[in-house]
Amino acid sequence: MDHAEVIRSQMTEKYLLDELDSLERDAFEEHFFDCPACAADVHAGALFVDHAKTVLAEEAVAERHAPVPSHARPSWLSWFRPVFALPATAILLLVIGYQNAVTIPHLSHQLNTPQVLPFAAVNVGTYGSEAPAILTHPGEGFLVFVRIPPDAAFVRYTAELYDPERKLEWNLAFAPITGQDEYPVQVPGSDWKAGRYALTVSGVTASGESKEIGNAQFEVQVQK
Amino acid sequence: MHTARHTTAAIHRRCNYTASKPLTALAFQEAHFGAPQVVKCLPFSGVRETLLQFETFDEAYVERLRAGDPPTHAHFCSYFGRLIGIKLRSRLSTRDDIEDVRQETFKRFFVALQGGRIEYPDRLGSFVNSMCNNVLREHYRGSKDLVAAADEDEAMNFPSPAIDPLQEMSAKEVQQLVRETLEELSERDRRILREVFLEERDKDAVCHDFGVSREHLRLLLHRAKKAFRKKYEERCA
Ligand SMILES: [Zn+2]
Repeated sequence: MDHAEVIRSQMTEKYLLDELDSLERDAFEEHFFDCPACAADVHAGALFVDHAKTVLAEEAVAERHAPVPSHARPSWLSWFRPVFALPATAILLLVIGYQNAVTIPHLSHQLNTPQVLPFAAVNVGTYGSEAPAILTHPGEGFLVFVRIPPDAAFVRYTAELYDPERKLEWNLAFAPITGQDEYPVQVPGSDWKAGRYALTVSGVTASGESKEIGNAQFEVQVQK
Repeated sequence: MHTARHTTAAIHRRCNYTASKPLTALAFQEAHFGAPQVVKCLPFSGVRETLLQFETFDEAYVERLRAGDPPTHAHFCSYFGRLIGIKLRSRLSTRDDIEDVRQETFKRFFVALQGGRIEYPDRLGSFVNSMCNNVLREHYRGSKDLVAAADEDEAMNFPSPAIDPLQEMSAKEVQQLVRETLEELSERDRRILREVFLEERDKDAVCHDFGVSREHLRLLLHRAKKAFRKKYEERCA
């Protein structure tokens, strides 16, 4: 595959639009790994598409939901802002919110309504078997306020939630926030098993090294 | 020690969300509350971006790389880290998998480099690509060696593009350029992009609904990409 053919055949656009069969895709990759012009083009296109999703998601949500005046929300509820106060994570919620608002409108209504959620506060990096209890319902989410000792060596944290049988429920990567040692984690609803869940938090250094900071436990009590 | 790398397989089993499939109430709630694995699909606000900086790949470049020249090493990891990331994202579903394959590719590359096995410095990209293909094949076969090998030598971790030293523009700044680019499009074209990229609708169906051809879709992306690059380069200049 030569460069002129790539341009003529709009290979970058076809690649980004996932229009190539596997042989064409392999051949194009073989080309752009060696062709700086095509590599730059593919990279710029991928960057555009990635960020366009975020921008379009924001717009989609803005279109679907009338703005809520800021004074309409009690200020204390801002404490329960979704997950980590990370813009990208918030945007993720908007993306999913948009997609699902179309699919399940009645649930969307529920989730646009302020609600009080069960919560627990835990410390990572301290020893002890204390496990605060959370009373929840099947499928209901809750909040866990995770206190992590600040350490400037880490550029990223990863958190993993294990169920009482030590099976991984999920993991999550997030950025440290300077001056903050407590992160409100919004835990998705699940088919909870009653018992002790463990949250393991690791820090990742700039060189990519991962180091376990510690783990914390909480007791999930399920009300049927 | 638990790391994300160790647990990828379990995540596949447990967190199998697909935005386009019908959602149960439970899955909806899970998704709406933020299914952790989906976070990986969008750039973090703290991630800094830069367009690819090309350097001539030749014997001198390879020699600097072999000698451990920090700027060359950083350039290599940034340049090929990004290309590998783009290559892998249509093939692998999680950031951890992508990172595992990327790290292993780099590791094998540097072993080959030190072993004097870069025969054609001007085809460095092809060499990296074929090495990545090999690692990917092993990944598909479920080779446990990948994880074990990745943990053998912590000192051999290579910076992912998200934390490389060549970063110039924050994701927020890039988003602003993308926003400006999108604002220059017609309402119809913005809708098309939204349905194709955000809603991931079938492209033929989208084209049919909007009365445009697939060619129009490619042209639309081509123009938007071109306008975005221009803005980016102007901003950096
Ligand atoms: Zn080319």
